[in-house]
Parts: sequence; structure tokens; C-alpha cells
Amino acid sequence: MSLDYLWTGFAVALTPGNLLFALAGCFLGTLIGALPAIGPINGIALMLPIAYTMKLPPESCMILLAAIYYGAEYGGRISSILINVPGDAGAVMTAVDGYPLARQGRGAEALTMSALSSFVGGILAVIGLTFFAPLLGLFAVKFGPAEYVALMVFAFATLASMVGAEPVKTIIGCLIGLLLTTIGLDPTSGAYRFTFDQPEMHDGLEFIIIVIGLFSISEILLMLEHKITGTLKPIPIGKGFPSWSDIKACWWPTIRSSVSGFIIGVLPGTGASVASAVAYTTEKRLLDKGTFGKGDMRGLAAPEAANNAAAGGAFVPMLTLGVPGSGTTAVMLGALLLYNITPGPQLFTEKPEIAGGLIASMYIGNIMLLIMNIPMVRIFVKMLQVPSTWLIPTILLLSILGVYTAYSSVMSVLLMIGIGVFGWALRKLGFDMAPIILGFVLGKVLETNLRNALALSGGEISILFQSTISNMFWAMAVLIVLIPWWLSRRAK
Amino acid sequence: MSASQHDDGAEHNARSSRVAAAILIAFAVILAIGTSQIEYAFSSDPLGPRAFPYLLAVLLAFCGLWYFLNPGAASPWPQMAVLRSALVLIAVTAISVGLMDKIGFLTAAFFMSACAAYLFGAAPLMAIAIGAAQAVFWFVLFKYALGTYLPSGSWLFPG
Repeated sequence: MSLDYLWTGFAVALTPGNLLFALAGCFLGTLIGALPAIGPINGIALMLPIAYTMKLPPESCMILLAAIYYGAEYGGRISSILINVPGDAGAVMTAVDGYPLARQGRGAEALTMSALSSFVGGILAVIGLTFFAPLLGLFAVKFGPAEYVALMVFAFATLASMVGAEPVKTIIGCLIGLLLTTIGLDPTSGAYRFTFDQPEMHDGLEFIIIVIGLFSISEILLMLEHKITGTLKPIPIGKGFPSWSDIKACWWPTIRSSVSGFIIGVLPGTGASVASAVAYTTEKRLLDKGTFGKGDMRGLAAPEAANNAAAGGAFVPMLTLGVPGSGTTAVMLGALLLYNITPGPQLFTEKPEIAGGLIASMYIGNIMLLIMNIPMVRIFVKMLQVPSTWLIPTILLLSILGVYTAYSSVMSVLLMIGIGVFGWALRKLGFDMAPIILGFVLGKVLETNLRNALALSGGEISILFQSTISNMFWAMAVLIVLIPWWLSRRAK
Repeated sequence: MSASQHDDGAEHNARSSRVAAAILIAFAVILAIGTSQIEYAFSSDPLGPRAFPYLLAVLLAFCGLWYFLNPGAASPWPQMAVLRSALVLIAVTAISVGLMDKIGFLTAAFFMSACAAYLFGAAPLMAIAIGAAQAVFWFVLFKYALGTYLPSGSWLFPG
């Protein structure tokens, strides 16, 4: 395929006006993302009407929205690392090692490393997008329900290895997450499941309610406990730049995770959360000597590279097929349709200024973000030195605002508080919150696709094992469970 | 996952783990009963809406049993003072939120953040100041800068 569209794109993206939009988008996105609970999708949803009423030309609008997207992706890591409150599903795995690092006074280093690995993941994804977009679009269409089931089973198999000491707690966490997805209207049969005749429950539990409750409210309660028992220590700020040996150690995990993240991002409906979970667990399997989960830079770099690569990968099916790969790209697709532009393979030839301008602006935006964020790390990390009498009310109010602005419902906020108390109890019992979130994110995809596959085959289980792609995932799922078991037996 | 849940000397506290495991098993049974009551006339797929929850209930029961037999480590039960403060914070927050449509976001936010600041060690006057500052700051930011809807309070501004 010729790259003419890309040169047209760079000519568009490098005009002063569009450069300014990219810069403003990166900056605004980082700020929006840094507020806990307001992830990229809310950021874009907030900005879209503003951009439209400003009568921006479509390419400038896409450049602005895309810049907000990756700005918010990066900004979301700040609250994830510094206060253990992930802004969106893709940032959940970042908190696993990022938050312990911040507690050890390495918050600034962690933020810088996150910026670096995000940059590598983001740039590799744009390169992948530039050269392979049409090809990958065809690969993504091959994914039917049976292939998704195999992919989800593979993702769960990697998760089972997440927390080494007590795998049963990880599995219980996943099951609780899966169970939460069953609440609400079942679209296939029209049955109401576990709604207790409450109309508010008919749509099921919303992701933001669960994430904020489990992470932010339970964190406040844990900190209250530390305050009263006198174990709430001030956190030192530490140096700003990770050591050379840390960067070297993170190099291969970052590259590996970028590639796997990009490929997973291309698949519609999976995206950043699966990508970062798979990347984290793969690196943990390969490298862990008991330091992962306690503040290991590699455990931070892997999911960061993966979720940014996945964010780039999610543009592939959106631009080439008109099928969004994530919630955020779905909103962007809506923006394109608003301008009467239908994405598809012809977008690259008929409207090169849009496809090319968007892709070119992603190269520029990633570089801008890196240059802008590394000096800002020192400012963000000051957040850790805000006294808890100011910080805790801020986290509490932002949590409530995050849920209330998303659903305008007092019931949702009360539900979020209840889930937070439940999360506090679980954390006291030594459970991790990440498996619950991932179970929740993957559960709908798993159940829907399993039932769709069996509906297609008329109840014949064999449909799950008919394609090469699904068999490849089944084999990988079996291997990822068996190899460590076999290795540990051999070691004895 | 976070350091905070382990660094308070995670004592071997098998009893609370066993209680949790027992609750989990009981919950799995309730879940199975609840699943059997899901009503539906017709489903376009052979599995139907009950199969997935049934599967989860069985797996949950097995894991609960395993957990009961191998309770593992848990943090010690929180002290009385912790429970009391946590209860105050949860109650004040829940009541403020519950009344938010009536007393308005500003008032509700003031009560919540003043209470949180006080529990985290601010002197009473300081807590009031923090509560007021936080409430006004976030109200202005969300209402005027971001343009989101926040209730003004039907009791304060009727009609």
C-alpha cells in the first residue's frame, strides 16, 4: 500500500492551527485524566460537543479528540500510581506495582517510567497502524464468537497466575467480578437477572461505580485505619528520573508488551484492560523473583506500554472497518459520523487528510506528551505531600463527583459507597481488587460470545475448537497453566 | 496488591478467613437458588440466562471450600476506634449523598469533606475551613468550568 496518505496527513497535522489543537488536547487530556474516575471516554464525550459547536473542520476535530484520548490515557496513570485510584480499566494493572513504588518514595521515577514506556508503546502502535492497518482489519474480522471465547479463556488463564501466594483468592476475585456482570437485563433472553425488581438495576452495574468503590473508597477507609493506628507515614518524594539500570531492565518488557498490546488492541471489544493484564502476567511469569506487586519497575512498564499500544491498535478496526475497538474509539467513530464521514478502507484514499492527519497527529502527539510530561512529573508528585486532611476530602469528593456526573443518580453514588465498604472488607482479608475488575470487564464478553457461539452451532460445543485462531488460544491457555506447574515440579 | 494491606503485620488470622469462606459458600448456595428463579419465556441461544450464573455458583462454592480448608493470611481485625471512625465517615457521607438533591451539592460536599478532614486529624475549625474550601472549589470547577449538572438543593432553592 502506498504511504501517500501519510504525507498528506503530515502536511495537515503540521499546520500551526492543528499543532496547537494537538498541544491543547494533550494538555487538557492529561488534566482530565488526572482527575480520578474521569477517564478518556468521559474526557472525549465532554469535549466532542464543544469541538463540534466551534465548527472545527473534521480533521482538526479528530486531531483534538485523539490528543485528548492519549493525554487522558497518560493522565489516568497519575492517580493510579500516586493514590491507587485507576482512572479507567486500562490503568488497573498500573496500580499493582505503581502504587507500591509511590509508597516507597519512588513516585516520580514511576511517573517518568510510565511516560517513557507509554511513549514506546504509543509510537510502536502508530507505526503498526501506519503499515498494517488494512491487513490487520482483515484479521480482526476473522474473530467470531468462538475465537473470542478462546481469547477470554486465555486471558483468564494468564490471570490465575497473577497473585502467587494465594491463587484461590485471585480466582474468587475473578468469580465475584464475573458475577457482577450478570446483574441486569440479559439481552439474549430478555430475562432480568438479580435486579431485585429495582428499575435502577435493569441496566446492570456500571464500571465506574465498581472501580471507584473498590479502589477509592476502600483506600480511604484503609488510610483512615492507618491514621488511627499511627502507621500513616509521610511519603518521601525521591528523585525524578529512573536509574539507567531500571530503564535497561524495562526495555524488553516494554517492547514485548507493546507488540502484544497492539495486537490485542486491534481486536474489537477487548482493548486496553485485557492488553495490560496479559502483558503484566506474561512479564510476571517470565521475570518475577518475588518482587512483582511490591514495586517492580518492570511490572509498571509492561502494562503501561501495553495499554498505550492497545489504545493505538483500537484505531485499526475503527478506521478500516468502522468497528470501534474500545469505548473511546466508539465515541470518536460517533464524531466521524457526525461529519458524515464513513470510515472504511476507502477512507485512506478518498479522505487522506483525515486518516493521514489523524495518524500523523498521533506521532506528533506522542512526542509532545513525552516532552510535556517529564518536566511536569515533579509537579504531579507534589500531590503526595499534600497533607491527608486536604487530600482525603479531595479524593472523597472526586469519587462522588465522578459517579454523580456520569449517571446523575444518587442511588449510583450510594451503591458505589456500599461497594467500597465491601472492598475494604475484602482487602482486609488479603484479596486483591484487580482480579475483580478484570473479571467484571471480561465477563460480559465471555458470556455473550459463549452463548452466541453455541447459538450459531445449535448447541454443538465443537464450534469452540474449529478454527486455527481459537485452537491457538486454547493451546496457549493450557501451556500457560501447565508450564509453571511443570517447572516447579522439575525444580523439586 | 498494595503495600498497605500487608505492611500492618499481616498476622495469621485463620478465623476471620474461615468466617469469610463460610459466608462465601452460603452466598454460592443463595446464588444458585436465586438463579433457579430467573424467569424467561424464550432464549435464542441453547444455554439460556441461567447457565452462566449456575456455573459461577458451583465454582464459587468449590473455591469457598478450598479457602475454608486453607484459610491463609488475613490482616488482624480492626480496632474499635477504627471501626467507630469508619462508621462515622461512611454514615456522614451516605446521609449527605442521600440528601444531596434536597440540601444541594455544596452543603453535602461541605459536610463530607469537613468530616473526613476532622477524622484525619484536622482541628475542628480547620476542618470546617477545609470543608468549605473543598466544596466551593469543586462546585465551581464542575458546574462552571466543566459545565456538568450539580443539584442546588430543593430545600434551599425551592421551585
